[in-house]
Amino acid sequence: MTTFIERPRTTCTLGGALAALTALPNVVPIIHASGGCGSSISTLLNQGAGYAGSGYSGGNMIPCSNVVEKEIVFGGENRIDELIQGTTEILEAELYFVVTGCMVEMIGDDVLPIVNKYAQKGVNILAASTPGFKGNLFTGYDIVLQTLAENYVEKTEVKELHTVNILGVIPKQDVFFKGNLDEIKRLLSKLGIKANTFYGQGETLQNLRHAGKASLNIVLSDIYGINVAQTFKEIHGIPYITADLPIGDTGTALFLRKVAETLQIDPQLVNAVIAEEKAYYYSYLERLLETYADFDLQRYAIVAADSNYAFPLLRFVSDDLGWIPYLAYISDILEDWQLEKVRSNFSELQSGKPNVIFTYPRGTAWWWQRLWWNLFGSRNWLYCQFGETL
Amino acid sequence: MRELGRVLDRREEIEEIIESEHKRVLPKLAEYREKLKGKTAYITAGAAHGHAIIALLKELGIEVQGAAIFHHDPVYDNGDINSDVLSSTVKNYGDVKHYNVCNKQAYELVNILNRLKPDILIARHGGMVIWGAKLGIPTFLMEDEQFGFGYQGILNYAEKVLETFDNIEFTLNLAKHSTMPYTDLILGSSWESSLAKEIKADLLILSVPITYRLVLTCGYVGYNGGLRVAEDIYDRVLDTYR
Repeated sequence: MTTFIERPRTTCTLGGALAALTALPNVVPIIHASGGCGSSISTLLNQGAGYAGSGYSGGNMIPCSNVVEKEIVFGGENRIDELIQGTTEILEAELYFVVTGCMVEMIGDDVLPIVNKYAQKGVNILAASTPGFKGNLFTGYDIVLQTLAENYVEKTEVKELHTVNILGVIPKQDVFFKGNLDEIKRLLSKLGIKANTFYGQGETLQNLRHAGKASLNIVLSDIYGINVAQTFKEIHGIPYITADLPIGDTGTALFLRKVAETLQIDPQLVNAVIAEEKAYYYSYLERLLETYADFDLQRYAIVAADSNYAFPLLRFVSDDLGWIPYLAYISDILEDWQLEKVRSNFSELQSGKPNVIFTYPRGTAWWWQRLWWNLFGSRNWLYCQFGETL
Repeated sequence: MRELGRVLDRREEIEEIIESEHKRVLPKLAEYREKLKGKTAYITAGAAHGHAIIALLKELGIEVQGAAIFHHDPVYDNGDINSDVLSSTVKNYGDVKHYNVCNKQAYELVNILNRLKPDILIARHGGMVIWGAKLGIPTFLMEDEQFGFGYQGILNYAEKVLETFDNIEFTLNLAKHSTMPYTDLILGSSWESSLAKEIKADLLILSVPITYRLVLTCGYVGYNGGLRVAEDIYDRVLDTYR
């Protein structure tokens, strides 16, 4: 390709997998790819994500098979075997997780049998196929959490009525993930709900291990984490609901009522909790009144963000702060049905209809087609062969 | 000079030279000392040459506030502890307060100059002069080790320093318009916002009057408060970091 990407808005599938793994406590990811993958991704996940830091064993601490021409020509399975052996001897972890890059998937390395060999010896180890070409960061998050839901979360028939799992808040793609999850946990606890957030403050791998006890999964996204919720539903029989990120009074009250309704929580308790939170919230927000009126601060707002944030933020700025929603620019690559879903959200706004535009306005199918067109000049046999699986 | 006289067996001739040179130089030196009274200097140079400049300037009555000397190891340099020029300088002319060895990182030099604000900076190596000049400190580069040699040398130096002081307008004016890759952090009030812009400092407004930020639940006390201050300071610093 003739173009390059500077300051990317997201990263590849492997990057998403590493974001999801390095943000978990006591997990050591193991990369089967060339050395540059882990290094570039780690830089992006730190410097591009509000300096999130590397966590327990992220950044330059991630063991990597560092495959070179030799492995590409003769296969890299021996190399990853050797790396897992060394890693499990030297680094302590509650869980090891092998993820793969494009090049080893293209040559057909199969890490699962190798990982199973170690698992049979009693090592807590999982693996997932996460080549960059499978999608982007969001795909990587989905794959890692689906793998965990399938192979790490204990199966149980006994459900705890008021325990939920929070999904769809993607570590480091959402730089505020920790603060966000802590507030969600605090609010739900006031309704008597125990929330496993996996990535919030004080969460342990044990919470994840026992996530099968939850009676509901809450996906804080219309798009991302749905596959994970689907896996939980199939394997652990946990139903799910989706909700927008709750920001401010309008969004949060809607969110709490939706969750309470689903879990059939006493409406009186819900009203009392919301009233208490509102009293706190408006005692502070009220201070803005003079400034808002004196300085004529009703302005036009433009939001440029991914589909998780664009609508909740613009709703807050317009319905809570009283600004005029002018433009929403959605930056992530979406499928056609996702585009429609995201666009339809904006009709819910109480205070005006913004223009909604997308980076890739015609969905992913169109985007991939363009990519192949640019690469090869026409829809040649490669596209016909592999276009669908992409 | 006297050691030369002893070795070459020319003691009387040497004594004559010393006497005539003293007669020639001392009155001029007294004049120069009067003119240079109260001036301060900072030096960046290699080892022996730097120590010699310290001695020279002190002889001229200039207060040497400090020096950034690139190394100091007389034994390694020539295997003779007697040629420890630093100790002879200190013994003969007194201590140098802000004397450092090997502090040649640019940020170290900039910080020192900014704190000491000497009247003049004398540098032995090209490139070092820019930091003095950018801060508005009259500066000259002295690459020639022989320039300060002998009786005439001290007069040379006095003249060179005075010449530099003759017109410092260019340095002062340029300092006002030059930029530094280093920034200050001001934890202040809204009054400081113009100052911060002027000196290109990063400003976190946290004391009254606060007109440029909205405070609702933000507090700076305790563990959470500490994290919040860190968040806010770095928010400002990273905003201007390129």
